[in-house]
Amino acid sequence: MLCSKKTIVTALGVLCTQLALAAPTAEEAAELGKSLTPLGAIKAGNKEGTIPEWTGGLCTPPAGYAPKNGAKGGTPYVDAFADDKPLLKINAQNMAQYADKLDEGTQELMRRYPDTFYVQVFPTRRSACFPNWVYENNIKHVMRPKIVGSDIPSLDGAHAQTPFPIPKNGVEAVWNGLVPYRPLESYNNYLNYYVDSSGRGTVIDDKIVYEKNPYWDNSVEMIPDEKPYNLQLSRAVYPPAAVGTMTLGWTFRRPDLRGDPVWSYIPGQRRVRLAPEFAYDGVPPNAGGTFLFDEGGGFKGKMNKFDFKLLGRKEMYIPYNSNTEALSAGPEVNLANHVDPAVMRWELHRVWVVEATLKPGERHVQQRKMMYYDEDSWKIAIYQGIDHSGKVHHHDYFMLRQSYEKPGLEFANFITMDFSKRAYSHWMFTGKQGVSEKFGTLMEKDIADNWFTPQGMTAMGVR
Amino acid sequence: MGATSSWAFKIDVGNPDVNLNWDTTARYSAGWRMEDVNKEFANHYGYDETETRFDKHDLVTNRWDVLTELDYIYKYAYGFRVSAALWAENAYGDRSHTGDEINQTFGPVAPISNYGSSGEYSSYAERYITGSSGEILDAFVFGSTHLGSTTLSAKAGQHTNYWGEAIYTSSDGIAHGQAPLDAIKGVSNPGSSAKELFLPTNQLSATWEMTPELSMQGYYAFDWDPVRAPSGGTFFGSSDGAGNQWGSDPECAAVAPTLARCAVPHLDAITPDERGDFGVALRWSPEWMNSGTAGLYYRKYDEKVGWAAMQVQSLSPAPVLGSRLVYARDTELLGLSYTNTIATFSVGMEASVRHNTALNNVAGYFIGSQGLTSMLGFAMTPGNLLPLTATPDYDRAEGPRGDTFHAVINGVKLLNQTLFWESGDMTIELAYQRLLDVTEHEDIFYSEDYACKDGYAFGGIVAGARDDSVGCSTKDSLAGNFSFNPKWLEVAPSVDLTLPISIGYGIDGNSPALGGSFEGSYRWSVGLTTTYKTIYEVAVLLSDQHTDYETTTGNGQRGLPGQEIFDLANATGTSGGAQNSHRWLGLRFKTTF
Repeated sequence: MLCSKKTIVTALGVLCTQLALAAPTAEEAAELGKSLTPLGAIKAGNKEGTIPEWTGGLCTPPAGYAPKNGAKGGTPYVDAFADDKPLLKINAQNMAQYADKLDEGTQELMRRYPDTFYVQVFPTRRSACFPNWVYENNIKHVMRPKIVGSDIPSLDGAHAQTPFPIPKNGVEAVWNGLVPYRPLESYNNYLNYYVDSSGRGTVIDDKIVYEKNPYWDNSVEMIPDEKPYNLQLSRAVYPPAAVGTMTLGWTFRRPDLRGDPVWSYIPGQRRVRLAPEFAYDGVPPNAGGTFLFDEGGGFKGKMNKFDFKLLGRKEMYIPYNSNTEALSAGPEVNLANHVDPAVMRWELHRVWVVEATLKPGERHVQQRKMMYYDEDSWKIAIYQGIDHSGKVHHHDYFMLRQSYEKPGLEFANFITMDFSKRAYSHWMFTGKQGVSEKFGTLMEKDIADNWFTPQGMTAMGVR
Repeated sequence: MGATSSWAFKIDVGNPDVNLNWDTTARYSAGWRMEDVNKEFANHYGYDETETRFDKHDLVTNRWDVLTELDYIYKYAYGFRVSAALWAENAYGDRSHTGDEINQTFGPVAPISNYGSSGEYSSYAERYITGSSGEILDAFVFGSTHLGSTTLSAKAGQHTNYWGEAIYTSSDGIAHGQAPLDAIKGVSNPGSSAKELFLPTNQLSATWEMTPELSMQGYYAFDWDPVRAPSGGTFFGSSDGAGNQWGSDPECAAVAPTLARCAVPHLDAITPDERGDFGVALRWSPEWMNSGTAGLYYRKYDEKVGWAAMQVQSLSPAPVLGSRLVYARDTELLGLSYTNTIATFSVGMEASVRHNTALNNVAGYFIGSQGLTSMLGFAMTPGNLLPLTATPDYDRAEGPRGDTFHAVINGVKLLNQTLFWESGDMTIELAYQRLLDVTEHEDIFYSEDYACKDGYAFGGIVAGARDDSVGCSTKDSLAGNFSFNPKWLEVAPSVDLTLPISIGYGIDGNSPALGGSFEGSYRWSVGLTTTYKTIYEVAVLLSDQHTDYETTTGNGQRGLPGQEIFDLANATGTSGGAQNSHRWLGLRFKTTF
């Protein structure tokens, strides 16, 4: 059943009916793996030839890749497209000509910083490649996932798959973006290089985040509703006063049934406590203030305050195959107001555009949110938060790149910008690769299960 | 400080399995007294040195603190941790200050207080407050191992454990007496939570995760230390006689009605065995609790706050007395806790029952006087009159004990963005306690239903019937703590602002258990903290506290003849109103590297 009797009799029965009609038709579903990629992207290129056909992506490392950790992969990476030359430079002068392919935030950056900000467009490389079983699951289980929960849209019947490769509405598209393919276990260095309103930059915060993604465990049929599909343990590394602090977050497919808990390990006390709600437009107190709790990874949390509308699939310029920026940029690229555009690689890709509009009667500092998802990977590429005066005040870039050693498309870094504060954070920015062992977004590490429970965190605490 | 600074702290030893962290926090603090000297305390010889040490606008603290921490972690499973604190205080000389008028009236030998023969600070005051010193805090090894599908983790050495869910209260929580509190740090850092004030002690502790939902914790202590209280004659002292909780170091006490220096020496405290505190706990978070966690606890421990008693060598012609602190032994605690998110609050709840816990005692009860009805009976009972060089048995010296019920509820919330602030947090906590039964020495239980009811004639003070307005315990008590910390980010390049406000208040009744709250007593602080690039912090903080007190006319015995002075015989709590005029403004600069 798509909707329970209870939800049908509520005022939201209409929405429920719409969602019920949202499943792809058998004809549409049959196109997956044919005219559509298994993730639902259009396999063919565009008429102009500026977007090529998807031919399977970059599934094996380029010549010359010799990771320090051998079969585990990781650094040092090599740029598979190092010989590509920019095709086009878009700046404040010629932006009007490309306005339909540029998001609001990027246009605003060009208007604000006409002398320094521009977009360098490179040939489009559809490098997204995932393990074969992902493709098989997507096709086999395409009719299984459903959106349930009247007030808080939740995900049912989905596991180890892109839930809605043929999305019919904004909620489905956002759920695709919430559960994009991730390795089962990974760890990342969430370093926050903050450039303040005077243009000076420094590291203000650094965490190592260990992540478990049971959602992508192909040996399991389905994660039960009451078990988390994603678990993240973060250990503070910097500033020194925060060292020893840990937080653990669980995320459920059914936010209509249970909230996503976050626990904190408090040094000194050596206790773990369930944190107060981290949600919506709350501002994380120690991250420079360039993002809200519901903006983690573009969008995070419950979808009950906004109406999510799928505006469709559009050709747009987005940062893609961000190898230069991720692999060889040093602190000098963190210019005042924005990252040096010379190290950003942009490509023309088809993106799914979702517009979220604040529901009448709901309170939030933003009136609107715009999300742009890469059609080949369902990874978010660009996000904007628009305030009640209609101005873009938060603008994020997720620097996507293909991790070819164990295929998967990931963001290597991301940038969260606050236009009203004129400050930004360059996240996971690790400087030139090799500076730190921590670089390597897909490096697996043996992680004990007990790390991801509040009790385990208590036992692990040192400070 | 550049981009590479964060890599410098996590020392790269070239092995990804090794985590080595070495961090150092340096802090400079200055503080100024913002209120005039209160004559009612300045003219009482048991309080003059604490009250007159600093005048209004004097620098009351001028201090450097360094905290350094080193952690070595191998594969997140084994390692060690050492932390040490160093400090240097420059606001005090090496001698205390006798109130000018007390000095004029009684002469230089008159003041009775906590110090050496020519007014030097005790070595305790010098060590922890007025001088330069340091100490090792944490020093322990840890390890964990998998046993089948379970995991056993243990720590051995000097460290703290803090159980339950309470945030501010140390007297009503499940963690009551689980570690000695550093009350010196508490008063000089208003708004600190209980966890910042725990002093590490030697113990073995372990967590056994039996399933992802159920774990067992336990500890056994090899060490016992009492609370660390501020010394008399220093700005935060509760009286001139306050001091070392071990007893012997400060030479003189201040409570006797005599003019001779050192007439009432502090004698060694009667302390429990060093080893033996232990506890076990179960923590359970089943799925149906929806991320909530319940806890069940049993602890048996020796208390860390002592009863103040008097040892009598002789009663006539003039009394020869010594003061002793006595610590309750083998208190048992059974507790339950629950925590979950309710609305947008992180809510913690605790309920605990304590068996044979220390109750509020008649100040300075005579050791051996328990259960006796007359002075004559006291003097005639063998063993009651003891040379000050002899140490009485614990049983003879024990204070009142009883069974109590305690409940704590708290909530923490992050502040949502509003027109007035951008971020921040708030915490509220209520602590309730109720007397269930008096198990030992009800005649020296300073309670309106016991010793206070008909008055009492033992101890340093002979008194008639009295009530809760002068600190007699009531059957129950309720106290609250509230903190509110709105925050503004990037108000200037890389600058964040916080406006911390904290209030602690005795809402109703005086706690029956020792070391609890008193109705109408409050403390507050308001500050402004500026953080630059998350590692430099400049803070200003104004703080004060208040306890109602009564006055009496000095008779030359306790203070200046004919002057209105603090009435110690009718004081509330241990410090009365001694800190009422000690509002102070603090300035702090802190950085970590």
